Amino acid sequence: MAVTLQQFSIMKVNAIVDITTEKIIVDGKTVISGPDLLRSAYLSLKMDYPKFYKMDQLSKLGLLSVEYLMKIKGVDEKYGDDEIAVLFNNRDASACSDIEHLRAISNGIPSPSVFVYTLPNIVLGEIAIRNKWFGEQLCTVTNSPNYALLYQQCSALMHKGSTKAIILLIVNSLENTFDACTVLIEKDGSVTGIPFTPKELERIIKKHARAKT
Amino acid sequence: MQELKLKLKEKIVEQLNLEDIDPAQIKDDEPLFGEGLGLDSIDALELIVLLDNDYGLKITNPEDGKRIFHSVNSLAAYISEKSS
Repeated sequence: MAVTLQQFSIMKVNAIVDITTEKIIVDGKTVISGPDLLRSAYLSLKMDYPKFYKMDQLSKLGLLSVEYLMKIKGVDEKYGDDEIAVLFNNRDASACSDIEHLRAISNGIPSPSVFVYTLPNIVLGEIAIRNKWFGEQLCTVTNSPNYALLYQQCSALMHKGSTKAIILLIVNSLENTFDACTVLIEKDGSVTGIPFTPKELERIIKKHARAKT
Repeated sequence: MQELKLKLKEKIVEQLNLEDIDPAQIKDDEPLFGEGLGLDSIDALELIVLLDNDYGLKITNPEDGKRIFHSVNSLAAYISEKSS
């Protein structure tokens, strides 16, 4: 099905969650900061989801980012379980778990609970299981964010099936460093939403990169 | 036997990343899977690895696994039996 530019223009950015090693920022406002950040965020969100502790860092970052959109932006109340698509993109794939798995192999019998996370798309599965979502999903790995391509992928997802909102996750985790930039893109954006364009995506991701430093 | 059970509870909590659970909270006869501690299939594999790494015991028959991993009691009884 051909997608026109007019259809593209109805997509709007309605929320941004930034996670760095030091703090979590929702729409420009720091909601939590300090040491042991991910565990502290899990506890403060009162998620009551013990499986969180078993996840690798990549999945924890993805789950927390989406949880903030749920709790603070009320996304789950606005959409059906097949109306939210999730697009995941990163540079390091599942290297954080791959390295840990390599260490485990070197030390003897590998850990099954580490091995299950040696694929980056597991993040999408964890988010879908947690939120009971059945919408579209897409996982891509690129050296750096390709704004035009991500925009095209979001456009394709938005105009496919029942999708009414997209959560774009750009999450990286490697050894002791991690960061996540999550963007909520909605089809029927509010009047205050920012039009979603490749240029706007570039601005968001570059701003996130500055927050890391 | 009580010492072995306590050690097993500590190992289960540590190995399976059950951060919200105090080892002392786990009852000896509480089912580890399903309604009890709520462990899943990956946890079962971790327990198999734990038995192999820490006690040198290999479980090759899946049917034995169901019986052995039913509770801390059954796990301790199996280790005790194989170690004696």
